[in-house]
Amino acid sequence: MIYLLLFWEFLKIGLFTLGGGLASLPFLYELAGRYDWFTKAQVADMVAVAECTPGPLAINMATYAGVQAAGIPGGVLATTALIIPSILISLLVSTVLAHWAKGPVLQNIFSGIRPAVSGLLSSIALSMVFLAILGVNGPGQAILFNYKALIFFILLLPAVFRLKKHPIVYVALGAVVGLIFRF
Amino acid sequence: MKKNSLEILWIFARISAASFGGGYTVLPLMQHELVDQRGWLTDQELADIYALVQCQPGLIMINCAVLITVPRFGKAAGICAALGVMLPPLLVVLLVSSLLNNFAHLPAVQHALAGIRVSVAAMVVHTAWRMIKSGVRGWSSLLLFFLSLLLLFLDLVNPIFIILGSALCGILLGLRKQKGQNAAPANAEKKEEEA
Repeated sequence: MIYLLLFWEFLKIGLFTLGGGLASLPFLYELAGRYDWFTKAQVADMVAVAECTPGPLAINMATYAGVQAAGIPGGVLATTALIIPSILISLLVSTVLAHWAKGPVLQNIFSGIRPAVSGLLSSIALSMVFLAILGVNGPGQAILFNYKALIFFILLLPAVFRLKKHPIVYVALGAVVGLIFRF
Repeated sequence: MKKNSLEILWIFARISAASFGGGYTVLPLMQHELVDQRGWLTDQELADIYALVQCQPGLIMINCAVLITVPRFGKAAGICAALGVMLPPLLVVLLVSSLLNNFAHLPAVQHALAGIRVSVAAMVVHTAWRMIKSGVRGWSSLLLFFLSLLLLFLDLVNPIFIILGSALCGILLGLRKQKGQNAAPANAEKKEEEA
């Protein structure tokens, strides 16, 4: 049963993730709230792994989320479900809809969707900041104010904005700092 | 031009395996493998397809793979190309996540993860900011942005409906703009008549 649910949910995510892999975050958060497959805090871990592994971000996220939900078969199912909408729509576009795909209607649709996706991702960003600093690891865990995490965040944020290094660098840095200072 | 589907799968698997965390790294890779090495398409054609898929639902790399291979080698080839994109990350992440799950309970891993979550939060803030800068233009855009942010943060609406709703708003706003543009030449004509 879980396999069917997993497949269906990631089919939807594959259809509605617009604007890059991170745009899947709002949907993953929503899944975390609805099922007990993984927590919202764990979604950040998925991003970390996905940034450090080869391939498109969304695929990596789906695989990891699927594994958390239902082990290796879950990972395979979620990833397969994720790419099916892309394949079908692209097949349509390449054979039939090419003309419509370049038209003004699609442009209008996306000029509406883009700011909405920014809003969704900003909401996730806020949640992630809270979760990282308040140190909540899972449901039922006490909220601890992690002042070390807060200091690290305040120091890291301008660096991330200005330096534009590959995400792997920041993930590795986070791991090392977390280890050394025992977050 | 008959092409071995397995070969196509392998080509796109190589491209996928070499692309690390981000859609933009993939374009030079495709240029090298598909334009320079094999001449399947020109730089301009690749650029056109890449631009097109930005406005298409689904994953950029999968869409590119299918859109490039299907017209040239048929539907089966397109599906193989998509599978090729999927396989390297699938295998690597299956491995990494299984490993991580086995060690997740260790305190050292917990500390590292806590630090990593701060990094990820910072990166997502940055990405959100860049999206805002590029995607939010004008008042209606700003309104859609704030509405989406609020509705999701307060857990009021499923993000799927937010996306659908914003798409609809985009269409309606586009129609309104078109009406305004149709009215403008009509007004200009009236002014000419009165003059």
